[in-house]
Amino acid sequence: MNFLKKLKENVYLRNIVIFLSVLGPGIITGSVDNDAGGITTYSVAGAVYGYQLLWTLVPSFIALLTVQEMNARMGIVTGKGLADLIRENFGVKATFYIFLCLLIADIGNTATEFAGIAGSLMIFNINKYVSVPLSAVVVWLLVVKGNYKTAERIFLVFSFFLLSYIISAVLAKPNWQEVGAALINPTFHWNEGYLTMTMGIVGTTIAPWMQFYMQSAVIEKSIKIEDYKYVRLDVILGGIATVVIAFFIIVACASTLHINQITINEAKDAAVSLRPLAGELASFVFAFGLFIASIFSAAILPLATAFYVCEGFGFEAGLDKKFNEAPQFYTLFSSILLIAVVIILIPGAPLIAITIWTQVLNGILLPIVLVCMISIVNNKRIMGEYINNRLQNTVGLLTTVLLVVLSVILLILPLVKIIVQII
Amino acid sequence: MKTKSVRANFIFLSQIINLPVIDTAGRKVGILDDIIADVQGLYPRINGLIIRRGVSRQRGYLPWKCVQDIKEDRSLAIECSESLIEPVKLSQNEIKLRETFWDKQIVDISGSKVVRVNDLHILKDGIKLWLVHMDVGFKGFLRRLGWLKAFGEIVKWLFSYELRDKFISWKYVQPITTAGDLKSLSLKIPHSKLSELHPADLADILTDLGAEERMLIFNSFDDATASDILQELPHKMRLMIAVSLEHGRLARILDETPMDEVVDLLDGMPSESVNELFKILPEEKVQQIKDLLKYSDRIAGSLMDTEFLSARTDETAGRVLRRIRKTAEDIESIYYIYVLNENDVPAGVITLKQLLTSPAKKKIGEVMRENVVRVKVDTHIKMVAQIFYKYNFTVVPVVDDNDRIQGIITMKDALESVFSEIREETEET
Repeated sequence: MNFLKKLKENVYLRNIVIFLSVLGPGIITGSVDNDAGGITTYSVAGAVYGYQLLWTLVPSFIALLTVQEMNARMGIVTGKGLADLIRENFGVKATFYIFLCLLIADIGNTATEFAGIAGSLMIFNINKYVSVPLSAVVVWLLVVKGNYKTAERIFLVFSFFLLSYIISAVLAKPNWQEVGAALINPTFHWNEGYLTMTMGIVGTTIAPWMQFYMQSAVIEKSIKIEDYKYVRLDVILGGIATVVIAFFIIVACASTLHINQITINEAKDAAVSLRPLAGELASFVFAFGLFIASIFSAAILPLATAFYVCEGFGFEAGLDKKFNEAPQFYTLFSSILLIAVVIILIPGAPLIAITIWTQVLNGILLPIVLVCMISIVNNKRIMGEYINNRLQNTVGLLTTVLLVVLSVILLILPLVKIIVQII
Repeated sequence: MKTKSVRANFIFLSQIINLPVIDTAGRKVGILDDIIADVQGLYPRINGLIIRRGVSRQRGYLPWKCVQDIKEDRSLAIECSESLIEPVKLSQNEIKLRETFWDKQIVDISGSKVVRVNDLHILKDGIKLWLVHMDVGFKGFLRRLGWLKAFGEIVKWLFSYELRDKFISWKYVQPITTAGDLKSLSLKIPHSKLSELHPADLADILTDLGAEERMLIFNSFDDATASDILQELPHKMRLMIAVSLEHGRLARILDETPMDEVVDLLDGMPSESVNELFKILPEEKVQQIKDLLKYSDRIAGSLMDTEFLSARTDETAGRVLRRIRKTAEDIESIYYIYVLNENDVPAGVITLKQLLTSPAKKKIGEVMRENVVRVKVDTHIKMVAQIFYKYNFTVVPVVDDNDRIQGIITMKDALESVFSEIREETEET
């Protein structure tokens, strides 16, 4: 009793307590960020380009913070989800096409997560025809029949295992001097592969669906605007978690695979290739991290997608509702899972093509979602005194413009090649 | 004399919004941007329109009486000259229908939940229009997308299933949007429809709304209803609303709230606000709150309610009943009446049922049951819950070290405190 009283009177302790109570949305979003797709992108980037792409993490980090901070602020000030705000401000048509793209992209994303599950468990000699359906059933039961809140907390604890990538990286004995130099000296190559990889890293760090997820996570916490400064800290911690993990994955792959000139297509390949180079332990640790990240995202992604689509279209949604109260919600959630599983299990399915097209869709969606967000967050009628300041707008717009330019270049480069060939 | 045959039919707002507006000479004056309705009648009647003109998309107002013909899905014919177009200005009871309802949330009073409007269903009689229903169904959504025909045919062909409309009658519609100049909407359409709902349902609705709308609606309730709703809200949201209320208003609401709930709320509020509130609240209430705030939340004192019914052994049943009739209004739990001796020590207990069935002249001391089971203010809440489990009470009195009565605890409060995890989980879902 006395302890509690003291706690209330001590300003520092009190601040810590408030911080712990608002903690979560940023960190969870940051962890989900490093999903199977993310780990694949970082591994391939490290294996193909060595330390060269490390610098992209710096602008990615700044962009990630700016974007997520906007989401958190919008969530606290309006108390509305991003889907709601887009529907109310841009009408039915814009909402529908954005969400149609989001739905397709997220089915692809979910398939990537299951590919991650299949790949990581293959390292432990488990067949994908066993591991994928089994994990899908576990995910479905956990979300629909179990207590999602508890599941989310367990996942959050598990996400500490992502720190295992640091072990993998250290075991790979990188040249830290080169690492440091690559981080601060950007290198550019004007070829398609390098640009695709750059965009892949930015795109996987700031995935479009994440914006929707972040905002609803903040709303669910019922955070007061006075406690906003703590939320900002949460966002920063989440961003750091994302970038640090990405950094060590790239370092791990660069210092082993790149040096020995081993090319890989999947995150699983990285785990396999690590074995002879950095030992069995490094390989297992890498695979285990991949499994945790994949199953975490395989649960959250379909759920989140079903939720936003229903929110935008005006259907009832939420795990607290029964099937006949929210049929569209449960049907969507189950279908996304099912389609993703089927895609992975079809023998000879074009997995790499699916991954690439999903990335492309994400890349197209992201600037659109960002433009909507910047427009809403600068609307005085909605945000009152909490609209963006000049710095936030500059970074936000710069991110959007850069992404658009990169996409356009990537679309044009192959065309130019074809034309050159014809001439 | 021949009268024009009256053909009344229904149209949707999506069928006329964005139509070209044509004048008598066949020239395009602009594009229909919004329609304006008077909300005073049983159903809002449309009595004005807003057109959008030129590249600058400048808005102009026209009275509805200059409309000559409505060809839904094609055009709107008006009789007007440029000079008739005025700047947009709404009168006392007028609202813009598209801006207020399209894609916005409303409360469906009949289903007591928050829904999103896809389209507006309008009764058309010649050129006269009334807003009658809100379209909240998937069919309305498809219509807005322009895919209704194609999609409807496919569904009919594949599953032989006819898509059905989902309407909410205007009678059961409570608008809640606050965007822009609609701040005054609540003045035009009072929130009276909401008062038909149970506070628990109202709390659910408030949880589903955006921050601004939530405060606007919450502020439209009287103090007693506001207090009931506040008690039904999840703890965090309760705090969020409490801190954004003006102190005077919060004090009035707290005056209507049972003491244990007040303490619960104040415990989570910043100390500056609590001090401000103490300045406004009645002095004896402040003293009681301060006493209760001292207790740790693991002991009986933190759960207790300081307002309860008591009597003396020498009083008659009739006299006590009369007193209950006068004071029951402000007391949460009235089923048990505690009989106290001159030192305020509980000497017996009598139930409301016993009181009602006793002759009015009978002395309380003769009817009461002695041996009152009681807990101390510092009894652990787990013990309190065990006592409820063991005996068949719904309320138990709380005494201090000298056995003097301090308050009562209801079974609901005790249950909630031991199963705090359960309570949190119920609130989260």
